[in-house]
Amino acid sequence: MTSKRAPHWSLRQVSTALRKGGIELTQTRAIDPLVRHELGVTDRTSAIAHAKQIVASLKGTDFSHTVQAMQSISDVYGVQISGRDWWIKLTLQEVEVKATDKTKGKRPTHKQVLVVSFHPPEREFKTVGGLELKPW
Amino acid sequence: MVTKERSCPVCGEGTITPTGEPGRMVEHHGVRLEIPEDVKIPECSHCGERFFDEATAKLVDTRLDNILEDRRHAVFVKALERVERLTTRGKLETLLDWSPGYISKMIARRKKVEHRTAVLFDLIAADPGRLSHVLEELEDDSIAASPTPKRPKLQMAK
Repeated sequence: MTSKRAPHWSLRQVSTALRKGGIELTQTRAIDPLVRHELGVTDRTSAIAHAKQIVASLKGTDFSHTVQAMQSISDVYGVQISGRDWWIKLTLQEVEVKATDKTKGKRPTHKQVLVVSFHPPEREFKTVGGLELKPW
Repeated sequence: MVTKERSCPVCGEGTITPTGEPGRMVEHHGVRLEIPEDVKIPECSHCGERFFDEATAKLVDTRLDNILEDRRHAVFVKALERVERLTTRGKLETLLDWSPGYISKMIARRKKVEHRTAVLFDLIAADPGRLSHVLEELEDDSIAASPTPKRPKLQMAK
């Protein structure tokens, strides 16, 4: 199921999640393509730093559509990095953080950004800002 | 930070749990390496997708850095054994514009063996005749340039 208006997760929510819960990437759909294609990204640490920087700089016009698969809802964005098109699919997930005195025994949670995909497009798609992105 | 037990957002079928297993090959600084079996990475029980947060990435990369460093060190020491049959460490250090004792420091692991150093020594060891030729030419140049012999330099970063 797809829709084409506004992202399910607002960029403000994404920004807060990045700051408080951090970021997680899938290996085959995000880290491996970044290590394979993005100059200067040669290990997992630099792939995550790179993805974090790009996700933090996403704009509303980069949004393309929302995808609901199984229980998770993800937003797809399209960006150009060094003249090349990239497909970014992200969602937010709950993560537990360490309990402190203030949390009184409860296990606090934060939202974390999960980058499901970060790879060259496998098909043509368009952002709401009008950018048309294509496979390389 | 611990991710709550959750269903896989990729396939929606499996559960993600920290898993350690052999045969996990990944690219690391351009080299295919195996992630050590004892390193646990969140993995889907159904589709096998793995998930890396910053802490997991750092843990894996540190272990792979160590493996890569061991490999470079082994290549360098093995190649050096062959190269030293042709010349001395001191001459090699002069040739490469390295400070005296730099090779010993790399052997003792007080200095890292860089990727290009390991490759260079591996190439020299594979074709020692070429090194002999270079050494002869450099010696001829030094004699010709006396009484102030110039220190031979090869463009090679440490």
